[in-house]
Amino acid sequence: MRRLAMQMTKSELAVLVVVLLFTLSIVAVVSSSAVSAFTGLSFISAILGQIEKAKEAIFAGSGEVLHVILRRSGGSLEQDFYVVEIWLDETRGNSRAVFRDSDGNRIGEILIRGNKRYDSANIGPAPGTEFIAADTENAILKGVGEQLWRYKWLLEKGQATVVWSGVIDGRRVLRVEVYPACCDNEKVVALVDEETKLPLTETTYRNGQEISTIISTYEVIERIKRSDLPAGTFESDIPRNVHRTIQQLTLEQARNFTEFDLYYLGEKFDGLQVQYIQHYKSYRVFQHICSPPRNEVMIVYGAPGWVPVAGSSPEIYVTIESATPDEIKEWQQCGGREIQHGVLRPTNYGGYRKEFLFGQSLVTLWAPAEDEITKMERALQKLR
Amino acid sequence: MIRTMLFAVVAALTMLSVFFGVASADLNFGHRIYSTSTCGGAQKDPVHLMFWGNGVLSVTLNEFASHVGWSYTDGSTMYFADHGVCTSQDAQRASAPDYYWQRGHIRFEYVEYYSPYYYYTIAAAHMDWCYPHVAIDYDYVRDALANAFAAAGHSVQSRAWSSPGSIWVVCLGDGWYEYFDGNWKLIEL
Repeated sequence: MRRLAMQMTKSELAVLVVVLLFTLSIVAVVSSSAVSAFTGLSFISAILGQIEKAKEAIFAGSGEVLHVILRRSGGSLEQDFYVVEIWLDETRGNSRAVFRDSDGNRIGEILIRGNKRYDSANIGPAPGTEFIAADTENAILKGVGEQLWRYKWLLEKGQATVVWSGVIDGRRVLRVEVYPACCDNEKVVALVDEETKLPLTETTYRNGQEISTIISTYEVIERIKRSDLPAGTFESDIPRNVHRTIQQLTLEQARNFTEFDLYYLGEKFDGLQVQYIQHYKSYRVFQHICSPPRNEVMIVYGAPGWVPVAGSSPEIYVTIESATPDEIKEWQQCGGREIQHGVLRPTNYGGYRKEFLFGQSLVTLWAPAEDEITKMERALQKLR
Repeated sequence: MIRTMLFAVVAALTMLSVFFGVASADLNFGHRIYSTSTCGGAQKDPVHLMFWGNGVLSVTLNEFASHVGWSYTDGSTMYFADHGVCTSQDAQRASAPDYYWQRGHIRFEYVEYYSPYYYYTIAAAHMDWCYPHVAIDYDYVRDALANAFAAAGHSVQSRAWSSPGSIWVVCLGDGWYEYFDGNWKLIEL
C-alpha cells in the first residue's frame, strides 16, 4: 500500500482524496436518512395505534356527537402548531371546531349552525365570515368534518394522488401528494391511514425544499351522548361579529333574489353556460376610515364540465352590485369611484369591462376580449 | 424689500417643486404580486396600501410595529413588478408564525424610484387562512391596517387604483371567489 502510494502522482492522490470524501459524504447522508426513517416509523406507529382505537368511534354514526382533540405539531421541531377540538354532530345543525395555540389562546374557530358556517378571523375587531351552504350536511362536512377527512375527500375528488402504499408496523398506509391551492411552488406530501384516511404526517415543500412537517396526534376520539355534552359546547361569539357573508346560489335561488334586480346573459351564452353564482356581502366594521359595505352577485360562465382552478380568476362573467343613491354617494366619497355607464374600459389584468346602471343595480360585463363584451351586451337580460 | 421678494420667489419655487414632485410621483408598479421571480404566471394578491411622505422602508416598518404590532417575519417570498423590474419583497410581517391556522400577513416593497420630495413603500396584505394557507380577506385586512394607522392620528385616504377582481380559493373543501375592490389606502407617515 505504501509502495502503491509512493508510485502515485500528486494529481492522482488528489483525485483519490476527492473520491474518498465524496464516498464518506454519501455514507453520512444515507445514515442520517436511515435515522430519520427510523424516527418516523416510531411516531407513525404510535399515531396508528390511536387511530385503531378510534375507528369504532369515527364510523359509528350513532347520532351522538363525535368529539376529537387533534394536536398538530412540528416533527423535528417538537413544537405545537395548534390543537383543534372538534364536536361534530352529523344529524343536527350544531358542530364546532376551536383552534388554540400551545398556550391555550384561541387562534381560530369554525361554528356550524344549520346550513351556516361561521369562520372566525381574529385580527382587528375580531369579525368572522359567514358561509351559507346548500344544506346542513354540506355545512358540517365541508367545515368541521374536513379537519378529519381532508384526504378522504381529496382522493375521492381526484385532487390528491397516491404515490406509494405500503405497510408500516403491520398497518397499511398511503403516501399522498397534493398541490395546494395557495401556491404554484408548493407541494404537500401526506402519510394517511389507508382505512380511515386520517392524516398522520403532512410535509410541505416549497420550491422543492422541505419547509415544515406536521404530525397529527389524535388525543381524543370518542362519541358523547348529547345529554352528556358540557353546557355551552356549541356557544360562540362568532355569529355576532360577522363582517361578510358568502353564499353560493343556485339559478333558482338567483331567480328568487329580492335585494336588487339581477341581470345575466341567459342560462347559456355563446357555447357556455352558467356555472357558478356567488352572493358576497360585506358590512361596515371600521370607525376611522372609509370602508363602504358591499353587496354583489357574480354570475360566472364556463364550458360544460368547467371547474374553477385555485388561484385563477373567472373570464366571462357578470357582476351585479346594489347601487342605491346613498351607496353611490359613499363610493364617491371613499375613493372617487366613478360609474361610467356604457363605456368600455380595459382592466388592469389584460381584459375588458363595461358597466351599466339599471335602476339601483350596477351591472358590469367582464371578458378577456372586446368583441366578447359586445356579444355579452346583446345577450344581457333581467334574471327572472 | 429685494430680500423679501427673493424669499417669496424661493418659497413659491419650493411649493411648485413640491406640487410637481407629488404630481409626478412615479407610480409605475404592478397592481398585483407574483409567486415567480419573473413576475409571470398567475397574479396573486392585490397591491393596495401605500405608506408615503416619509415612507422609507425603515420608517414604515417602525410605524407599522408601533400601530399594528405584527412581529413575525416568516412566509413565502413573493415578487413585485416595480418599474419594469421583477423584484422580491423587501420585508414581510405577520401576526403569527407561518404554520398557524390563521394570521394577518403583509408584504412590503420599498419603491426606490421616489419623487424628489416623497418616499414611499407599497404593500399587499391579506389573511392567511387554512393549512396550507390560502390568502383571503384582502379588503378587510387592508382596511383593518389603515384603520389602526388612522386611529393613531395618521392621515388615510382612499383611492380607486385598479380594476376590482376575484380569485378562486379553496379552504376546508369549500371553493369561492375571494373578492377585492381595486381600491387602495394611502397612509401618510
